[in-house]
Amino acid sequence: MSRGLLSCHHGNYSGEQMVSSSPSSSSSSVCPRDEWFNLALRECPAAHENLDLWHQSYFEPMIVDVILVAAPPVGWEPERDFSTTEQYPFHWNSDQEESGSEGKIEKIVERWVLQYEGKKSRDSGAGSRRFSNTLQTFYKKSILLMRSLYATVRLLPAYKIFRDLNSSGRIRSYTLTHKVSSFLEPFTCKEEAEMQRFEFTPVDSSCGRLCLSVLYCSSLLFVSPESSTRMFPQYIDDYVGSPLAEPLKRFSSPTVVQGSLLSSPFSRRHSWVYDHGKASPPSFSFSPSPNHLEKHGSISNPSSCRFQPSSLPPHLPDLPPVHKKNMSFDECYPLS
Amino acid sequence: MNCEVCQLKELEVEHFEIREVLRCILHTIVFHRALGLVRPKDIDLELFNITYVQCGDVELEKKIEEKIDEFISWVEKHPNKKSQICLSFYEMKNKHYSWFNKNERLYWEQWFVNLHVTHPKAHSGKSHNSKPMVDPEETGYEDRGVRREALEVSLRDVLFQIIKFVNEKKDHVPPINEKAICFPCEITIPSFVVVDFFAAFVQNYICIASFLFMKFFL
Repeated sequence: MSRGLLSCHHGNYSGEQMVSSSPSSSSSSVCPRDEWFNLALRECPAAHENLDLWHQSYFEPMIVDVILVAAPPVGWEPERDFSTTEQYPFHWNSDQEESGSEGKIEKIVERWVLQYEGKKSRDSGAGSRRFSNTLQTFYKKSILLMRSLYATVRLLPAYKIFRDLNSSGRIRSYTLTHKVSSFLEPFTCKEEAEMQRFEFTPVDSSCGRLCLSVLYCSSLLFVSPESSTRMFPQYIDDYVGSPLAEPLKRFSSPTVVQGSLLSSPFSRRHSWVYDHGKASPPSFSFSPSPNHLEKHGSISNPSSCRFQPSSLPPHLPDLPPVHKKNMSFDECYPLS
Repeated sequence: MNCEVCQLKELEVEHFEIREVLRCILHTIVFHRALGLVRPKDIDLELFNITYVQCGDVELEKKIEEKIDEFISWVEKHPNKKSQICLSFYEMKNKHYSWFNKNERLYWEQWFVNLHVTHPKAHSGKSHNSKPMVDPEETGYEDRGVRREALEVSLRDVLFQIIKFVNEKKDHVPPINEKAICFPCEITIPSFVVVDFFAAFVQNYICIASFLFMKFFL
């Protein structure tokens, strides 16, 4: 079950191209675990790492944290994080700082907890047939649980980030990673307030019961470039050919003689020609209100939020990624 | 065996959204009842920011598409009405009577998808207000955006409703047949509900009449 849980996840978040195997192929090329719970999933090596503890003891809880790792925005300072958490929803990881890693922000966006709670007393006098029926029922219910898990993962907000990372070929300033452990690092009250909980109904067996639950961030709007944050127009004042882009280039102003333009090879006025021959940008009448800026925050992905042109170096906004629709396993992971 | 019934939350949809909404809901239910070996397929909705899962069985996909086509045809003839699509799972049981056998469907689960198909409000260019009017196209665009977002939230709620129901009620699910991908199911759309009931009534009537005739006259 733990491998199944991790396969459902690592298939999403490992970001690796995995070698596929068709469940209908010959037995020599098909691993039995591909078809556990009647779900033909790709083999996921990452799902089998760090499982030694659970091989020894089924009763240790398995905590799978899905972590969003992002580069801090320009001008962001860690000292400001604790006082202005509304603007900077990520928490500075002091361990990371001590380890000397790059200044990255980490946020746990999903926490999955899988635990097998053993019964104090087992069913006594259970015949082999009864045990077989119990096992079949347990397996059937586990299959149902895995179906629900598979569907639920795709409905959670972090899945959009996963699709964004995998569908677009662009380099993003954020990525998803995971951590598997057997102990809980408790959330702060504020962190827990931002999260929602979903509990799957436990599956009973003759020896205990399997419990699965997830805590997830209900809103990741500050990360996804397809968030509901309205896209504001951005004025680019150093477009190619503009005086600001090429300050050393002399721009000659045409001499107007009786309504016609002479002394210039060009027959029309150019946008950089203004009064007195001086190049100056046109007035920019739009600017987002400071309230909007504070409300939405200078998020980790600066390209997804528009600010006054003077506050940031001008850059082209990220275009929305083109999602590859109706992706099947064969398209994502071509058969070898 | 109990027949578990799930009434899904009603969704208000426009005509062009019917297909996507129904595909999402019906395939999600079927995925949770296709307990044979499946190769799941992730499908991104085009109108909403939702990914659902199909079980990958071609026959089932074809069956669902046919029923959705029938439903859309029905909606075109009955506009602006609330409607219900029923997805039922059953077992075939062979019932032995004294002198004949009969295969019967024993329904063990029924899902009711409730839709209210609406038509978009027409935006009139006339205004009784003396104040300058906002561009009706812009207002309509914003209204549609708000409505679309609300529908996406509601659709997501319905999907979670399905998952919760599947999780909470497992005991009534029959044993898995490894030879089949999915439990036998049927999709009933509004125009055929009366016909099916009538057909079942006539069939039962003929059976009983034949039995009585055989008993008393032979």
